[in-house]
Amino acid sequence: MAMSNVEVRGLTQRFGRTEVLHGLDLELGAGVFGLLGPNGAGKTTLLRTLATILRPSDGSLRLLGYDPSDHGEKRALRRRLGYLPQSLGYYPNFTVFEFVEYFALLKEMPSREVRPAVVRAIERVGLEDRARSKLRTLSGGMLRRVGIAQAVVNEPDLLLLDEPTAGLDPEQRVGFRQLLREIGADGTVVVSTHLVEDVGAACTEVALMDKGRMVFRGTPEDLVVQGQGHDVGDSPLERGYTSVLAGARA
Amino acid sequence: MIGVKVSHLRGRPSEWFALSDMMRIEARRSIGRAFFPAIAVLAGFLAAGSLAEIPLWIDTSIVVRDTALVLGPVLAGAAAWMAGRERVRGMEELLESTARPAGARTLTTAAATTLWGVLAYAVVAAGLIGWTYFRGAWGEPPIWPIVTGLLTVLACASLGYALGAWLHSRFTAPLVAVALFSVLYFPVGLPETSPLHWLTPTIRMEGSVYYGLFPNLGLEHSVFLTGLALASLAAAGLRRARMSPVAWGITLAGSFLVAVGAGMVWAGGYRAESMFAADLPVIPHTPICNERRPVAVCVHPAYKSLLEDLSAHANWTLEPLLGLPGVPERLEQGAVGMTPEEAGGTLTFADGLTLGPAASSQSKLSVISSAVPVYDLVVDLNNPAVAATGEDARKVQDSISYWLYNRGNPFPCKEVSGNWRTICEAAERFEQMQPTRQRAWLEENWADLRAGKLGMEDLP
Repeated sequence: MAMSNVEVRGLTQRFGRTEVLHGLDLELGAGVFGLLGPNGAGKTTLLRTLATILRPSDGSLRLLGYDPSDHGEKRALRRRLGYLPQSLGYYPNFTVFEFVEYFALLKEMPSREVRPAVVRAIERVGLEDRARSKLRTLSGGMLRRVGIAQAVVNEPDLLLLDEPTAGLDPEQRVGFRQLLREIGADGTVVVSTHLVEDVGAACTEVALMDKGRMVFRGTPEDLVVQGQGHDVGDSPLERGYTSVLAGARA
Repeated sequence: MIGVKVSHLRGRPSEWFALSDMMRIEARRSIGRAFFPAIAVLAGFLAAGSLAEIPLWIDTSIVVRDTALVLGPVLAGAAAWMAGRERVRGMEELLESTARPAGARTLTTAAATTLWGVLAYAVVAAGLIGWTYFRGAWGEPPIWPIVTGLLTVLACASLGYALGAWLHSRFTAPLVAVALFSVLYFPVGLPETSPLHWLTPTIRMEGSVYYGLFPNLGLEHSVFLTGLALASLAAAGLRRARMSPVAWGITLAGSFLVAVGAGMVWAGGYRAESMFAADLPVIPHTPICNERRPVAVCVHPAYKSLLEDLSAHANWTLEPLLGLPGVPERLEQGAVGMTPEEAGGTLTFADGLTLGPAASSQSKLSVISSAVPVYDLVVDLNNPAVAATGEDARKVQDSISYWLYNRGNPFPCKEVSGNWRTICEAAERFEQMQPTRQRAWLEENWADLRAGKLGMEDLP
């Protein structure tokens, strides 16, 4: 049996009195894992927890074999982690190259590998002709691609993307899905999204979250099957999505 | 395709070069790079304007130090802005997910910002020192004020960074700049009995080419400022790594140095004592003299550029009085305080500089005028009876003094009124006499004039 890159046991997250995640269990190996769910379902909180930004209120995590509660192991894990938050901040006077290089250095990549890795990351998101442009001159879609470039610059074994395709045009989304498949071939990619077509096109596995719980997990095809006989939604995946949610809330 | 050469990167010690690469990016995109060249020009312009006309190293060192009054607060504001940048730009979450410790980010960002302020200080200092050197200043610059200025800039940067890291507001940066300017500038006006007065690195100092600078608190200020810089920088690091033993250790060590520096100032007992009362040793030097004229003039070598003008002025001023009792045949600049002293035909006058937070200019004219105090010659200050002389006697003395100063020039008596008109008209009448009659009158009345025994009716 292949080793799991993500092992989550009984994960609970609380903010004050509000419990956002309720004893979640999750085990993921290599592949692209899509996280679907309505607003407030807990997708972003789960991703932030996996990105080691939030400590679990309860439960345990083991990511890429490391225990993030240990300072040294967390640092080692973060070297192999890529993360794109839902809202990407940036330094407007940095160039694209500098921004990605800065994050490569923060991810403690070996110095000799930094520049070639930055070049490759920028090429992967199709921004090579804007590498010397200041970030403040870029469009929203280009900034999103810069965010993706910084996330993948260290060839992460665990890539966490929160709404990565927001702002990308259809052609860019096609290219982005290809990138996900490349990384998912060896590593684990977790993509949180509202766009079910992204899940259908790029994900090997999908989960649906609602109110802090995982109410469905399976392949995209399994989700399509869930929607058979259900008439809410414009595509088979959307019908599966709405069907599962309706069932969970019933 | 992006053209990047990677061959030169091979084999570098990874960690230090990674930090240097971060520093390179930060420095290139630092807010300091945008406006510190302009600030350096402004500081240099202000500094050059406050330099003395006579090139003196003591003056230059203080002026260099005082550029920190401009650079320090501006740099503190810039550092405060940079410290809050992650929060303002919404970068905290993304940065938090990276492997490198937050302390490394803090250090490189703070260092990159500080770099521009230090460069601006270095450029201004090099310019002022070079300018003073090429004008032939005597001796060498006192180093402590220059070091103190540099440490003030560094401490301001660290303090600004710490305040920016801990205080979350869009107003933090400007407030920090204004507050630090106030702290640096206004404690100078505090009573000299206050420890804060003497702890301020830009404190007003007295300066003399004979004694150097006083009070010389360079070591005390350096210890204090180094401690402040270290403690502030470590405190900024504690914002993200509150349990870091390194950050706590540096904070405590820095605080200890702050206490030591303050304690040294306190224990030194610096109060309102002037440098002339401090029994300081005179800096070794060989006076240079012009003995080719009737009145020989000797000055400290720092005032070499002044010698010819001073000699000409002294000889012109004293020419009508030469040979009269109490009139010097020799003028010597000396380290004797502010009051000229006459003994045995030699008048000794002091260089007497007072340097402020921005060093006061010392013009050639003011030095020359104070070197030959005509009124003090006309009035016998050593005679206690002179103090009791009446207004009429003083008018006579003023008339002859004014004549001595102004002879050969028009007397603008119609432009003044009251007593001064009377004095002016008397001086003008004296001017219109033949030189031989002037000399005869002076020889006949000199002793009584100085003793205050003459009235206006005794004047020709």
